[in-house]
Amino acid sequence: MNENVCESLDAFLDSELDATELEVFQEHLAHCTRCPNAVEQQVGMDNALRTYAETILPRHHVPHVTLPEPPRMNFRSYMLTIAEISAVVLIGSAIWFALGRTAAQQKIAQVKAEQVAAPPSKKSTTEVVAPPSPDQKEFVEASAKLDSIRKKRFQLIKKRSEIFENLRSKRITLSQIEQLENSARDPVVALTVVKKLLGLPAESSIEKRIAGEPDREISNGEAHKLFVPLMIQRNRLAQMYDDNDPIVLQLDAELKAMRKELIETVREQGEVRNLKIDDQMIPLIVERNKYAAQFGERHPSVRALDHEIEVMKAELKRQIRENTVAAKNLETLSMKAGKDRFDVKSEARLEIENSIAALKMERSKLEANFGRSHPAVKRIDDEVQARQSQLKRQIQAEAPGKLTAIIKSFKREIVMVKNELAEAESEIERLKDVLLGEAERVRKVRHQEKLRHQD
Amino acid sequence: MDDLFIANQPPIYRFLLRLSGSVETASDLSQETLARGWQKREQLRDSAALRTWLLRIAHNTFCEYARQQKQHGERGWEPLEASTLACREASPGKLSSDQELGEQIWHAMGELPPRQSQVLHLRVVEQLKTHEIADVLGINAQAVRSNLSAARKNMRERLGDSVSKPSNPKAIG
Repeated sequence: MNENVCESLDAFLDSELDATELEVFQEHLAHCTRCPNAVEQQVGMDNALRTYAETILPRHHVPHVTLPEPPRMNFRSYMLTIAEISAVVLIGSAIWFALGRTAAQQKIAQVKAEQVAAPPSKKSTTEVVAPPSPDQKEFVEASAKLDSIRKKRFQLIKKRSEIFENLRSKRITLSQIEQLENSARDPVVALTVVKKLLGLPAESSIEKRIAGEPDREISNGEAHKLFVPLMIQRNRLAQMYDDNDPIVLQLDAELKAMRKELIETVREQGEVRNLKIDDQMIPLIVERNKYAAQFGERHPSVRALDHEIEVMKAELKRQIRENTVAAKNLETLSMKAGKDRFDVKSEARLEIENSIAALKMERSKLEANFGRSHPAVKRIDDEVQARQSQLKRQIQAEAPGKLTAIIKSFKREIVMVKNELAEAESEIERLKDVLLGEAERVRKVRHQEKLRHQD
Repeated sequence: MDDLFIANQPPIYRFLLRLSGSVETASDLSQETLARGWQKREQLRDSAALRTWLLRIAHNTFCEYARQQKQHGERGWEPLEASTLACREASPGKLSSDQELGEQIWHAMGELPPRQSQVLHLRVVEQLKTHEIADVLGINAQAVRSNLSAARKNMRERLGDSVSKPSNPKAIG
């Protein structure tokens, strides 16, 4: 038990004991043979260390001195002071009269005689401010120079720390990119993550999907996702065969139906929202009319309801307008599908994808006519597989090039920042030398000044 | 705010002198600490915690500096003797017996393991609380307590005989 209480010594010294523990420890102090000595020693050491540490100051530290305010005088002390001054003046005058004016006059005459007898002196009797000695002047100049250099150096150190921060953040990002480059299995994924890290926009639809960004401005679920590839296929087949080819026509019909469906979906979505507003608005109108019939058109409640209905109507109009714009956008989108608007991939990739689509169409046509086991169908299957692997290679080949380019540009930036840092550091070093030289000069001048004063 | 920063220069300098043992390094790093603090002053939510916050920046600045020195293979700081002499130059005048003892303790603290000496410095000289010390050094409160206890024990063993009578026995902590 006793040993346990002894262990609370540090907590006691740090004032970290609660009331109960403190009471127990104080009681323990009265009986323990070691703890009182330890407390005494520690307190003595702490105080001595603190006293000494307070004298450690930076070389050029200027302490902030706050002058104590003069004591405020109250009326009584003010009157007392006046009385004291008056008393002193009165006593002084009385003594002067008592001694007689003659003594004073004799003294004045003596002084005058001395002044006449003495040769005219260049120095006046009043104190004249001596012009600064060359040493003092040099000292002031050197101090000013020292101050300006010190300020410049301080600014440079600040700049250096900013550059250093910049460099550090760039290095961190670069190491992250390099780590990603080494560890990522799929270069496309690595590129996407890197782009997200650097705040660059995702280019391809694959990147966008990985980055979790929406693919298109208007998204209408699965139907829309199917619509665009189908349109691409249709255009490709139309180029290869003819617009009047039965497959193209079939696709046209499918696309038409799909487009209709999409537009309907958009409208329906809008209508659902409109309906919600309608649901709220109709009871309001009914209520408003009820109030109007009961209290008149000018009643405040009727007016408030009118205002609310107006707001709802405006909202409804806005939604209708929005839906119309969305539907129009969708139509424009479908018209332009397969052209530049969706060329988010490279030309080579698009080419391969289109050829795969064409092959698949051809395959389905052959399969319908001759069956799945026909050698022509199998040949097309092999061809499709080969094209697909080619596509994969193409995608993977594009990613590392971009990644390397990003890393290269980043490394270039880092080299530039490093150079900047080196310049700042060399400037700081140079200034440090100048500063030391100037400080030495100031010290020398100060020393000479001190010697001169001692003389 | 400007005045508050300048008023905190001595504690930062003292702490950096304790960490580095060199007057020049402490002087440079304290300037850098103040500059960094000034740049990041918007991050400080509670102005009452300015000193602790600046001491933490000082500690980080020193760690960064020490790392750089290690990378360049240079010796980071001068021996403690030189620094203490320089300190005395900075504060001329005859040292009282209390100050002599203080100087002796200051020297002895330099021989402690770094973490112990840092904790003891922050507790005794800067009078920080346990959680504040933990904040400054980036360690937990338990580590602060154990280091402080070990440091005190070490110091009592080394200097026990030198401290015969405390100058102010009532003042604790």
